[in-house]
Amino acid sequence: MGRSVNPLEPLGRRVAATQDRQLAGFSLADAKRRLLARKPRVEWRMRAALLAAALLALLAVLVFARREPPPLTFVVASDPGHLGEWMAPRDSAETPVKFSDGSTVTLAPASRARVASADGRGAVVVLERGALDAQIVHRATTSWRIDVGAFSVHVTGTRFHLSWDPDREMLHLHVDEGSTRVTGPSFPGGQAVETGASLSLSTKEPSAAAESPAPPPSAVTTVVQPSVAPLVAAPTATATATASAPATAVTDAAPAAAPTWRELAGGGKYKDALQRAESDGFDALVESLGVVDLVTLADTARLAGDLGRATQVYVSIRKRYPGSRDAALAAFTLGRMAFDQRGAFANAAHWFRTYLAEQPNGALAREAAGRLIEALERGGDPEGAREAAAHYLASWPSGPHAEKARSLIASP
Amino acid sequence: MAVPLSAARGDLASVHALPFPGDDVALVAGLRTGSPAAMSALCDRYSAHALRVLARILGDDGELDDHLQDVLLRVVRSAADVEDPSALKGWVSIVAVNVARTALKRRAMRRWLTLRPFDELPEIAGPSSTEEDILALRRTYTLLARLGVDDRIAFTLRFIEGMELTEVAAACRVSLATTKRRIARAEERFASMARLDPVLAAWMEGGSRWGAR
Repeated sequence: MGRSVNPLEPLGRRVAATQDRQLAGFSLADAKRRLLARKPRVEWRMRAALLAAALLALLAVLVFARREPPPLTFVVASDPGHLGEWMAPRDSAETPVKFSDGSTVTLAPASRARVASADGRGAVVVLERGALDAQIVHRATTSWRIDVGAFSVHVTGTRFHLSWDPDREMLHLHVDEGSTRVTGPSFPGGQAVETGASLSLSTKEPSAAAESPAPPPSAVTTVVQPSVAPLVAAPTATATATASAPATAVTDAAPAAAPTWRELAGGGKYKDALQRAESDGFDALVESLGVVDLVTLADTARLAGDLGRATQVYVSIRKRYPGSRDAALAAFTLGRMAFDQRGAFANAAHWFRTYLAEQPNGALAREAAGRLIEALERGGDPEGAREAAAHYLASWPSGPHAEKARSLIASP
Repeated sequence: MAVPLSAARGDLASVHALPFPGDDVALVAGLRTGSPAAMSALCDRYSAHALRVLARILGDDGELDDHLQDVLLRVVRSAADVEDPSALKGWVSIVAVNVARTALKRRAMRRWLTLRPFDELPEIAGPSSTEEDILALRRTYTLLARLGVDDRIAFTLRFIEGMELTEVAAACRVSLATTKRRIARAEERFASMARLDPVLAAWMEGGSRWGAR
């Protein structure tokens, strides 16, 4: 009677034979040359001495060359300011808040704000409601931030006006001088707003906005610099419970006789915008536009329903700006498109992993990690999904996908 | 009696090296003195074996040449620690397994961070391999990636490299009992995955002991 054969043995032999054919092209002679060409090892005592000297030098640099400036202090009107304390000017009076670096933030009447934190390079100011005018002194290391609702205005040396209406969830920013960068839901990569430009945003859904008194159209304007694309809506298919509603650009800018694709996109007319971009020469645009416009073009194509064109632009962003935050966001969006619109779960998993590789602490890391679990599960990789679930729980034990992750791990 | 070469490092490529005349005991002694001839002989005798062990454990890896260099260098530098110079091949196996284990653990950490483009799966060389062979190889390593590192190492050394259990135990520096447990566990897990695999299922149909599951 013959011995039953372990099928792994012939499989293993076949795998080994295939591998050996691959390894036949490997140059062992090169390996020998590399080994024999190595420089003699520095004697360990000498290495230890060199390392100690290097550490001493580094310590000297850290102690003597890099003196962190003291945290900023500030005065509210004529009183010393305190971190975290709300400042609420009376209805009829503006209130200047003067900082020790020479910067000034003037709160408009009936506003409410606080200085949340301050260090040697700047401060974080939270504007709860109302408006402020800021004159931030620029230095090499200046770094200020104004938080309004779900948005943040990042400042390095600028004069600007900022207002926030929490009831209508409406932000308005006008930059008189310098440049700012606004980050927030739907565009965590940021939107630059520079000298002379304005930006208006609302996080209210159009249907929700219609329920509350809408501002008169003339009260809200968006002025767009040629190099700054207007914001476009970027609804998330699976928004998490804690994520803010997507931002929509609010504009009543009267279109010129022949609106540009940017203007059409800014007005929410994505199909028209895409058509205009096609007639302008879509491929040429993809080659020539800067990253901000590329992101807008990609979003426009996606919202117009043209996944092919959208993919083309996102891939171009990744190729032209490798390693950038925009490239990582493009990867995330490619993942979403693959998952939501194509049902290509393995492809989606690849892109979510790519995002996590490039932005492990990025704004969308939690969402990417959660969606990775879903993509692996739906793609028929339960083991991979369980491992992804374990990694998710290690970082976000209370996150939106935590329950899903736990049920995956617990299932047989 | 052979005269050791005294050429400066870097010039050896232009000098014909005389074959190292001694056995592995002499070779280890030569390594301990930094003899270039001994290092050359080490490469001639055992670099192919080290490369195979690395490839069996790691599968397709774009850094095999660096891993091999790592193994050879570690063997040279650890010559003084070789307990049984006559069993140098076994020592090379141990070092190769350690290097591969470290590479696998780094790979596991990076697993969520893979930068390999989706549509650029690794190209496998070997024009004489059939499509079936290539698929079997790919799928095997895809499943192996789901095993624990130690189980995977034991499995690949046993079933792909074809080592005896005692050789596997020696290379992994664990007891024979531990080796058997790891192999059994890996075998069961791999077989259950392979039976569901579209490519490997056909391989698993043979053998009464496993086919009935």
